[in-house]
Amino acid sequence: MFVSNALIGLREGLEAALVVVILLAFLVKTNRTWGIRFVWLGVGTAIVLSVALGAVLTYGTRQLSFEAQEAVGGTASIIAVGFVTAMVFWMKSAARSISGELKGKLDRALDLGPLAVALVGFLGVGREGLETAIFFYATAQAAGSGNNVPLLGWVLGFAGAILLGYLMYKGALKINLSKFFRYTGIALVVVAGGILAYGIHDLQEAGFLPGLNTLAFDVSHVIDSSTWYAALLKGIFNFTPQTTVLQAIAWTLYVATVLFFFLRPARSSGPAPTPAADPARQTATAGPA
Amino acid sequence: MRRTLALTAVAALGLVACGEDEGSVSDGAGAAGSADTALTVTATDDACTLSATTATPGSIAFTVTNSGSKVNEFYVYSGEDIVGEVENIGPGLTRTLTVDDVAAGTYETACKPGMSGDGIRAAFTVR
Repeated sequence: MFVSNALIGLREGLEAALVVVILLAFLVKTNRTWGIRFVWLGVGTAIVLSVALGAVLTYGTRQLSFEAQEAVGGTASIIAVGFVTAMVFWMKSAARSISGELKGKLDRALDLGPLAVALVGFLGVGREGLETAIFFYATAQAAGSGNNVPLLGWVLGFAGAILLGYLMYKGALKINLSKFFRYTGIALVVVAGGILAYGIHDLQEAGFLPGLNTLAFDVSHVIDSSTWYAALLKGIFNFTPQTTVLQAIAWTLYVATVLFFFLRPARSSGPAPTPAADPARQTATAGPA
Repeated sequence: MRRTLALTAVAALGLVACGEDEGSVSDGAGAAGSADTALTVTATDDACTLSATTATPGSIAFTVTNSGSKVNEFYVYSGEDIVGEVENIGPGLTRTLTVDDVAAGTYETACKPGMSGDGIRAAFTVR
């Protein structure tokens, strides 16, 4: 009872923390400390909204329909992927301006504004914040009727995720700058690919996208969903043992395309507009929804 | 670039807001107490017991209690389509799934202990 509720907390905490951790590390690493408070503003707004809405749905007479909840989670996930993709190319341009390939002026033009930074924090945490809040209230209700093991498990699991996120942040700050851009960029692309697949699955469950039962693969007999490593795989990469064809295609297309443009060496003679156009194009390719 | 991002941002917020609005407005009579039919489901690692397997058309609230040791999920299917689902029902927890405007017909309920496979299925009739 303790362990399985702790694993839910761990998974949900990691899902929320990863993008935020990488964004914060990037801002600190490149002396864009102005952005930090906007990240926390977005994260804070997401938490307050989720906790409040979760309370209304748990203790009030209103309930969010299943379709609406999946549609919100799915749509927010896919929008989050768009912003994370923009962030990846922002990183690429920042890496180049630091290595002197581009003038600082272009870097500033490519910079995400405060609103966008806040939105990455908001969507990263908010996309599944409501589900997490409602789950939290369910453990609180169990505690209220005399069983506090689920609540204790969830809190410790969630705290474990925050600790892991903090360690990743500390680790990322130690890497040297050029490796930092490459590794965190690749990590972000893979994480965003997972968020995209997750969002698509939500929309498939709600019936907004077809193909829920058309599986690309099913390894649920090998990877038991209730194990700790399945929780980590889901929390970090959003990997699910049963993956639909549409999820697999979207993930592959997204990761392959974005990694190609991210890792492609910059042409030093090339004019400025090319990198600026990239994020929009990637988002369009990656969003079959 | 910054302007494009800001515009996308506003659109994003709008979408999220719309989704939430739609849900809470369309099903004001949602919670377990105010649904047309309120049922309980007892889920364990190898059983899925409903307090009744029939209901009248309208909203149905399934209050699912997991008394097993594995994380459970509860689904209502119409053919292959999901009519409603509630995930992350940890051991020892009770969570409610409310489905609105259920029309007369034959459905299927499923508990999925361990979050995988087809689950423990049973026929459910609305008439």
